[in-house]
Amino acid sequence: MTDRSDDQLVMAYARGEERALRILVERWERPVFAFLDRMLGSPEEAEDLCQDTFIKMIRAADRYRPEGKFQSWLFRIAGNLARSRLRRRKILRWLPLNTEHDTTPAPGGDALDDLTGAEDRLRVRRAISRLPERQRAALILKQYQDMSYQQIADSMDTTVNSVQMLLHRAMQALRKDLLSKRNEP
Amino acid sequence: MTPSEHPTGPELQACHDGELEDTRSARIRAHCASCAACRGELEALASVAALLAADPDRAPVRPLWNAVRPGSRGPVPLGRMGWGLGLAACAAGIAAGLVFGPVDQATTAATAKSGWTETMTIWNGQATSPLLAVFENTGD
Repeated sequence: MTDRSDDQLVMAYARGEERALRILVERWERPVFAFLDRMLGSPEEAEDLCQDTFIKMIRAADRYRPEGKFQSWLFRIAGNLARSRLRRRKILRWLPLNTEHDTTPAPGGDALDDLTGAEDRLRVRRAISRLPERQRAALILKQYQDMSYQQIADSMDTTVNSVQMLLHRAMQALRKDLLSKRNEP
Repeated sequence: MTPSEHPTGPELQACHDGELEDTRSARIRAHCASCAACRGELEALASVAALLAADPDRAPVRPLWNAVRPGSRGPVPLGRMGWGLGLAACAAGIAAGLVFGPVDQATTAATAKSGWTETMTIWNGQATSPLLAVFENTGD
């Protein structure tokens, strides 16, 4: 059953196969969590919203149209939740982006390499967190979820041209932020 | 595309992302071969993408299935209900204020004093029954 497409699994769940739903959740929980983690800069909040994303997905499963756009649909739910959370944060102001919380073990190498790697990762996360919300979403979906412009446009309810512009601006901002600082003495 | 006809920034981005038609992409790459400025732009995009790729995904601490499986969800945690409860409490407070009007502090103080006297009377065994004491003290 694990080799079935997302659409087939959603349809199977709609017919009452709970196991199909479990496979879907296990297949997508890490990508959705990673997207929310980068959008929000907080693994705790990402876990909370990841759970909400799947609960919403399950509730809406019977209205899903199997057109091969499950990934865009799922990330649209996650993106909308992230947007609401960020809006609420703007109101509250007292919830900072937790870009310090890096629990990812650095891959191999000696201690200095590990430290440099961790610093680079932190710099990247901070730079991403400084992007405007829509640029950040488009960039994460392209760079880390490897989605096509069309898939990103579907999940963000926009056009391919708009996605192209968002990505161009995001990459220019990151280039300024990351490469200029890297070249500083 | 002539050497003096440069692709736009978004076009270079799309070319880097492999989102252009083959012919358009080939023309841009041919242009970049002879244009240092555009080649530099493409190389910068590749450098940023490489930096981004060096940041791996973090993983959730615990698997989600038990939390989201249908029928497994208990009551909504208070944290998520906080906003709704807070707003409901505020609305109830405002409504109560509008219905009952401002509190007369002099009356409130007198009632409190009367209640204390009444309690002490019952405590000292001077009233025949607590109910009678209430009627005696409030004058009802």
